[in-house]
Amino acid sequence: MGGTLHSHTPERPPARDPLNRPPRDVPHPSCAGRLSPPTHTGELVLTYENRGGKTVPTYARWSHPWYVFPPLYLDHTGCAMTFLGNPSGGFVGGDTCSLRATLGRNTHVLFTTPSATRVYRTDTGPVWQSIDVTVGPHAILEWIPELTIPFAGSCFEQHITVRLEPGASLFLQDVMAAGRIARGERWAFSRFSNRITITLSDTRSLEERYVLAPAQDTNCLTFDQGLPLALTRVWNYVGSLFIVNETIPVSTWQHTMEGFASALDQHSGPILGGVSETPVPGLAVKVVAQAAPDLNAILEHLWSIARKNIWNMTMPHLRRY
Amino acid sequence: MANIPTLTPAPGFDQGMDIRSFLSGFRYLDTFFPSGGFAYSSGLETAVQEGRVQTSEDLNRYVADYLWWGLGRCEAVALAQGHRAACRRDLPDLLRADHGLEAMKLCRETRAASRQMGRSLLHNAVGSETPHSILHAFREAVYSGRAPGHWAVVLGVTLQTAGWNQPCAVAGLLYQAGTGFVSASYKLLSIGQREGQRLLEAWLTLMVELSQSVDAETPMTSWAPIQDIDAMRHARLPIRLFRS
Repeated sequence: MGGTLHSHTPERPPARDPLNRPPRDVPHPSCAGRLSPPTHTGELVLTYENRGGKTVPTYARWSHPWYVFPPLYLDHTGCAMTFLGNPSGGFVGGDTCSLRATLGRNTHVLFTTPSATRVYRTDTGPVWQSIDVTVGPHAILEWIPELTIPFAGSCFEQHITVRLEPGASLFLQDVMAAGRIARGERWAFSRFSNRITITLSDTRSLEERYVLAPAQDTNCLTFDQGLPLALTRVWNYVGSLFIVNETIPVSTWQHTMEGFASALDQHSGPILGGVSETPVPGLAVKVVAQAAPDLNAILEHLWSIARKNIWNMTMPHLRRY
Repeated sequence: MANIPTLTPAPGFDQGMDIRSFLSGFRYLDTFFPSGGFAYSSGLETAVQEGRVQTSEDLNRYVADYLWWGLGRCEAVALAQGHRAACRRDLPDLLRADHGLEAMKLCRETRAASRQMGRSLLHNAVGSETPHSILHAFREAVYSGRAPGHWAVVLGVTLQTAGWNQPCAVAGLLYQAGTGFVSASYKLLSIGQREGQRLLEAWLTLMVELSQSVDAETPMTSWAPIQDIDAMRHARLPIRLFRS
């Protein structure tokens, strides 16, 4: 199962894995193998170009479980809002999904997902997701997926790699839940490995990388008594946000950082967040929250500040649900 | 100079580490060494001011969490990589470790603190080295802007040059961090010196376990979101005793 937008000859995947993924028939040691349900190797390849001020996909090819809708244009900026769908409802053990996207000069693409990414209990091997995006000169990439929910017993590994060419901009958020919170399930997954690498054209980079294995490490947030006045709270959601562009003036970053810090301090719900300048020109935000609505609200607020300050744009209505 | 008699080692004396090497390396970890570490709290000041760390037990969990999930998996690995590169006299590998740690340090204050301490160590540690040593070459790379010169990486090279093996060097890094937290807590919390020693004693098991398990071949990782947030929020505190 799969599809294309704008017909091109389908390509067979190369024999040698360019992403250096682990062999699929070798389960991760922390993911015990028992059953062998059907698994998927999904590949999504996208290319965008700017045509007359509007970003359009010039090449798209995908295979299950990826599903891509034609882009939506929610305002007059020419931004191609692209939903990354997974009709199967979530990842199962052994799923291997990759996305490779190339954004041409002066394009603007907003990637999002219609709902949370669920990683079911993985009995046969880890779920592997690779996101690899090259952002062309003066192009804008907004990577705004919904959060990832690792179920009890799940094993998930994700690599997000973004290469920014001169003048390119990135707004990237990545959020994980401790588990199925409504069920009282926290830190019950087998393993959660996440790596985000953002590289500039001059090879400077920033990286966020962590590996969580609650079964080995007992608890992933032992210090989670978060609020003042000794109100015992637990943080159920952890999010990161990165904005990078090497040509934006320092004053704009400072103004944006002030806006972020104020928003984080003034948010009424139980969250805790901080913002700082990254090793490459840009900002990083870390935020923890007790409830998903609070986390979504603050991240959307920060996104709106970034859009206004950096690109002088208003917020699109994503029509997610 | 007086004629000092040679002493015979006592029975059972462990000659695993040369005493001169031990003292030479120990000097860099001592609080008297001018690395500037006393000026940094690594976010602890934020946690105290905002009420997340108020007691000795809070501090115990805060630091143990940070050692296990943050320092022990990020800086300790960077140190091990620096130590390995120094063993091999491999400057490009050393620079990779330094740049790798730079990329992982997302908070400006933490990054600046690490760089400043690394440079102070380089400035004070290189003096007696031969001009062609790996430490000298690394210092030249840092001074010329080709490397950021982070504390953990510089310490790895320095302690390797002093003759320390990797597990001891990692333990030294972790112990120096632990004493730094205790020292900062004396100024920030109502904790006495006896309690500070009890905390250090409590963290030793963790330090030993980490120092024996850190592998230069594994990638650096870090998972300390609360401590990272505290470090990020520090710059906006209305009153600050520390620089991070």
